[in-house]
Amino acid sequence: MRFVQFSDVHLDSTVGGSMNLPEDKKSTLRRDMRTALARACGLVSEYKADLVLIPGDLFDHETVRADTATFIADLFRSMAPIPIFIAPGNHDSLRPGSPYMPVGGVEWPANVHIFTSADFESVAIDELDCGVTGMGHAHRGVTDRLLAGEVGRAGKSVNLLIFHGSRDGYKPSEKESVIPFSDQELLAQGFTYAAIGHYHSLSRITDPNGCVRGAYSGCVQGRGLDEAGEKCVIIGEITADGRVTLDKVEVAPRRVITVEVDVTGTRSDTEMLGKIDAALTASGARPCDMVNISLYGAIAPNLTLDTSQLENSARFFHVSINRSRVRPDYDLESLVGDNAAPSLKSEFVRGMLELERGATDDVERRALRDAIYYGLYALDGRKLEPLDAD
Amino acid sequence: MRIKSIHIKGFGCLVERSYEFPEGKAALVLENNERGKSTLAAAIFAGLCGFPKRKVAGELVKLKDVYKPWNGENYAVDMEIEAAGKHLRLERDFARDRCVIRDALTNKDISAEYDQDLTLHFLRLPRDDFQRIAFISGKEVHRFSSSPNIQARLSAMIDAGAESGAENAIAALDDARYTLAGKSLKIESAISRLAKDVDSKQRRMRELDTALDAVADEVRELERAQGQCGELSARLDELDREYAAARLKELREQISAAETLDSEAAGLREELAGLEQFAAFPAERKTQLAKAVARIDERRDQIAQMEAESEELRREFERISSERLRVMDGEQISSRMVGYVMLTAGGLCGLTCLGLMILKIVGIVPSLIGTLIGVIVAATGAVRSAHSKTGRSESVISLEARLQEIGRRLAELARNIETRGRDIDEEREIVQSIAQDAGIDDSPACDDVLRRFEEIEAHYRRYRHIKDSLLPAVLKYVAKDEDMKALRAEEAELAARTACTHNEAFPSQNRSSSSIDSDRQAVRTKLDQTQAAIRDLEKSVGVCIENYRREYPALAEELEALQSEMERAARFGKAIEAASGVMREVAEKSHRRWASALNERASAMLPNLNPDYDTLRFDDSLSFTIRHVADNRIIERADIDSCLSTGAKDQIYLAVRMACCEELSRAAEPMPIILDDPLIAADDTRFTEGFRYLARGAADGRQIIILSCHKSRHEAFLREPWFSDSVSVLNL
Repeated sequence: MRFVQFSDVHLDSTVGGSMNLPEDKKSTLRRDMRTALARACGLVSEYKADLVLIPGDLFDHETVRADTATFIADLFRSMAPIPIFIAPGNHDSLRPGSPYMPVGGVEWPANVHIFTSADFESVAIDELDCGVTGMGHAHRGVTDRLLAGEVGRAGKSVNLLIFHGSRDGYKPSEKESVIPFSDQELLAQGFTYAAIGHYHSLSRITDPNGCVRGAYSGCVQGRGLDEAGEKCVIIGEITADGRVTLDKVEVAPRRVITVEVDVTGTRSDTEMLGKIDAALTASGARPCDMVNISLYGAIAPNLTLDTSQLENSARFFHVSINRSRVRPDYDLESLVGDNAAPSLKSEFVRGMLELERGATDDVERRALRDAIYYGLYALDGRKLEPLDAD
Repeated sequence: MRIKSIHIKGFGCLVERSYEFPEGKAALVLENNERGKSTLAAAIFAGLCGFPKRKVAGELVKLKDVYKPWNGENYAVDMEIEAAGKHLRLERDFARDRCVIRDALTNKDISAEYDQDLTLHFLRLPRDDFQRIAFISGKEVHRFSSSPNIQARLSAMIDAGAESGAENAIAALDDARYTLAGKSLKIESAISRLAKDVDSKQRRMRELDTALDAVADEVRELERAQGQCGELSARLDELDREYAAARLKELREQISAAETLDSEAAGLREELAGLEQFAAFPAERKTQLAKAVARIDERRDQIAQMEAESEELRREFERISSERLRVMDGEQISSRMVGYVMLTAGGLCGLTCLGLMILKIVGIVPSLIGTLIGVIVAATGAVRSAHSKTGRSESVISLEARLQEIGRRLAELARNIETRGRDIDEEREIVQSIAQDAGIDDSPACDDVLRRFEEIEAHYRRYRHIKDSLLPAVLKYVAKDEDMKALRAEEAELAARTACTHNEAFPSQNRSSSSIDSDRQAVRTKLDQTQAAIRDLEKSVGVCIENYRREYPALAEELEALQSEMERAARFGKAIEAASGVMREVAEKSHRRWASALNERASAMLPNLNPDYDTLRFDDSLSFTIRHVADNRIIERADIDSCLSTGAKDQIYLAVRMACCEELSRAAEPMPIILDDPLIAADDTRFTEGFRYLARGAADGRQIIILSCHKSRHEAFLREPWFSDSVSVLNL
C-alpha cells in the first residue's frame, strides 16, 4: 500500500517576514505554496498512491481566504476516489469559522475525510484492509498528552495514525507545544505508521528494530529563515508484513537558502561582494531561490558595507542580508593583552569580558558582546545604535 | 587656545573697541564699576561660544538680548585666536546669528571645519561647562559645579586614546536612544512603548480569540441550522421537481384542453359565420306571427262556420220560404175575404154614419163615432185585405219572422264573413310583413310562413345559442394568445428543466401541482425561517469571524514585528546597561586617577591663595573637601559654603577652578581664564598674594584675563617688578 504524506502547507499564512520580502514577492511565495500543494497532490497519481495523509496545518485559520479553501477542495475532488485524510492542526484548527466545518461554506468532496473530533477516531478502508485513526485540533492550544493513554484503532491489517503534535525533545524553540508525545508513547500505541505534522523539517521515528513507525514530512515550501533548505513530501510504502519505507520528493518551487559569509578583514565593498559570491556559488543556490546572506566577523569600525547592489539584483528571486553578526574591528585582544597600555578602553573591555565569561546563555553572551562595542563606541564618541541596524 | 585680540563692533555699552591680549602676560583691565568690564568679559565669552539658542531658565530675557548695543550699532565682535596650532579670525555677528571663522593667514573661510562653539571644539567643553570652569566672576566664584562633560574631560586626561572620558561615555550610554518608527526615544521609553503596544495587540488578540471561542455555541447552532437548511433545500428541490412534473403534466393537459376548446371555438365560429345570415331574424315577432296565423285560422274557422251556418240558414230559408209560400197561399185567401168583408162593412157603416150626420139625422157626435168606427173597421178590413195579400198568417208570420231572422242572420253572417275576410287580409299582411322580415320572400301560405318561420327560427336560435352561450362559454375557457404563449413557455421551460427528471416517477405523481405547491410553500416557509435564523446567527457569528479574520492576521504580524523589535530594543538596552555598568566601574577607577592629579594640583595651588587651608580632595562629582591647617580639620563643601568667610571661600573656589582649568588644559588646548573682579573679598595681603599667583600663572603660559575695579590696589602693584613683568594693563 502506498501513501502520500504532506502537511504544514500553511496556505495564506504570513510569509517571508524575516527576509524583508516585499509584498509582490510575498504574493508570489503564497502562490508557490499553492503550487507546492498541487504538485504534492500530483504525486498521488504519479506514484499510484492508495491514500493521502495530511496531518494538519494545511492552511492558517486566521488568514485563509474562501477561494483558497475552495481551491483545496477542488484539488482534492480532482483526486477522487483516492481517500484523503486530514487531521487539522493548531493552525488550521476547528475553531469557529474553520473551512473544515459545515459553516465554513466549503463543500468537501466525498473522498476527503476530515477528523473533526477532538478525540481520536478510526475510519476503516475495507478495500485496503486499512484503518486510519486521527483527531483534529479544536483550537490552537491543545496541549494534552493524548498518546499517554491508549488510542483505539480500526483493527485492520494496516493501522495508520494521523495527528498534529510535538515530538518531545525535537521541538524548535519558536514552535508551540501541541499534543506533545514521546517516541515511547507513540511506539506503545502499536500503529503501523504515524503521519505527524507540526515540525517543518523531515524527520523519522523508528522503533527499537530500526523500522520506521512515524514521520514528519515537514512543510512543503520554505517561507522564512527558519524553513531553509529542501522541503519535501513523503511517499510511503507499507509492505504486507508491515514494513514501512519512506521516500521524499521535493515539491517546493523555491528554497530558502542561508549562506554564511565571514567578512573579517574586509576592506571594501568589492572585497565583501567577492566573498559573498564565492559563498553563494558554493551553496548551490538557484535563481529561483530566496537567499539569506548572513555576514559575520569584524570589520573596520568606520567601514560601512554597501550590499544594496546585491540586494537589488535579479540574480535570485530574493536576497536578504543579515549584518547582525558583523562587529567593528576593535582589537580586543590587544586591548586586554598583558602589554596593553592602561586606558579606559582596556579597562572597560576587561570588565566586559569578565562579565561575558560569567554569561549563562548565548543570548546574554551576545548582549554582553554587543555591550563591549557599545562601550567602545561611547568612548570613541560614536553614535550608539543597535549593532544589527541595517 | 589663546585669545589674541578682540574687536568689539557693538556689544552692550561697548562700541568699536579693540583689545589685544599679549602673550605671556596676564591682561588686566582696570576700570571702575559700571563702565563695561563685565560687558567686555561677556563679549569675549560670547565671541568664543556664542549665545545660548534659548532663554536660560530663570532669566527674563534671552541673554543675547541683554547685550544688544545700546545705540543700535552692529551687534558683532571680531576675534583672533590661536588654537591647535592655527591662527584663526572669528567674525561673530550676533544680530544675524552668524559666525565666520577664517584662517587668519589666508583669510579663507573655514567655518565648516569648526563648531561655532569654539570652546566645545577646542576644549571639548560646551559653553556652560567652559563658563563653570574658566569664566570666573568674583561675585559668583563659589557657584562652582561639576558636569558630566567636565568629569569626562578629566577622565579623558588619563586616556589619550579615548575621544571622551568615561563620564561622557556613561552619559552617552545613559542617553542612548532607540529609534522607533522614526522617533528617537530613550531605550526604556522605547521598550515601554513597545511593551505597551505588544500588550495592546496581545490584549486585542485575546479579545478576538475569546470572542471567537464565545461564538462556538452559536456556530454549532448555525451548523445545525445549516444542516436543516440543507435538508429543507433538498426537500424543496424535490418538491420543486415534483411540482414541475405535476405542473408540466397539468400544463400539457391545460394546453391540450385549450387547444380542444380552441378548435371547438373555431367550429362554433365557423358555424356562427354560417348562421350569420340569421343574425337579424325577427324572432321576437314569432308571437305576433303565431297570433296572426292563429287569428287567420280562427277567422277562417269562423268564416267556415259562418259559411256553414249561412249554408244551413239558406237551406232553412229555402225550406221555410217554401213552407211559407205554401201556408200563405192557404191563409191568404181566407184573410183576404175577411178583410174585404170588414172593409165593406166598415165602409158602409162609416158612410152611413157620415150620411146621417150630414143628414142630421143623428147627432154629430154619434155620427162621428159611428163614422170612426166604420172607418176603423174598413181600415182594418183594408188592412186585412192588404195583409191577406201577403199571405201572412200567424204561422206565415212566424215563418216569415223566421225567414226574416234567417235573412238577418245571413246578412249578419255575410257581413261577419266579410269582416273576417278583411281581418284575414289584415293578418295576412302582418304575416307577410313578418315573413318578409324573416327572409321568407317567396310568399308562402301563412301556414307555411309560420312553419318556415319556425324553421328559420331554429337556425336563429342556434345562432343565438352559439353566439350567446356556446361560443362565450367556450371562449371563456379558451386561453388568450398571450396566456397560451405563457403556458407554452412555462411548459417549455418546465419541460427543459425536467428533461432529465420528468420521467422520474414521483411517489406523489398523481398529486396536483397545487397540492404539491402547498407542501412546497410550507417547506419554503420553514426554509425561510431557518434561513432567517441562519442569517441572524451568521450576522452575530459572521461579525465575530469577520472581525477575527480582518484583525487577527494583521495583529499577529504586527505583534511578531513588535516582539522582534522589542527583543531587539531589550537586547540593545541590556547591552547598553551592561556597558554602562562596566563603564561606571571604569569611571570610578579613572576618577580615582584624575581626582588624584586634580587633588595634587589644587592642593598645591590653594596655599598660594589662602595658606590656612590645604589638602583639597575632589570626589567624582567634583565636590571637594579641604583641611584646615590649624586644627587639621576636614571641611566638607557644605561647611565651606556656610561657615567660611567670603574671602576664604572665594580663594578656595578660585583654587578649585584654577586647578580644574589647569588639569583640563594639561592634555588638551590650554584654557584661557577670564576673571571678573577676582579676590574681591580678600584682604590686601591675600589680594596681593593671590594676584601675584595669578600673574605667575600667566607668566607660565596660561592666558589670564583679569577685569578689576580695584584701581588703587593694582596701582600699588605698578611699582612692583613682578607686576610689570607679568601683567599688561589695558584700558577699557
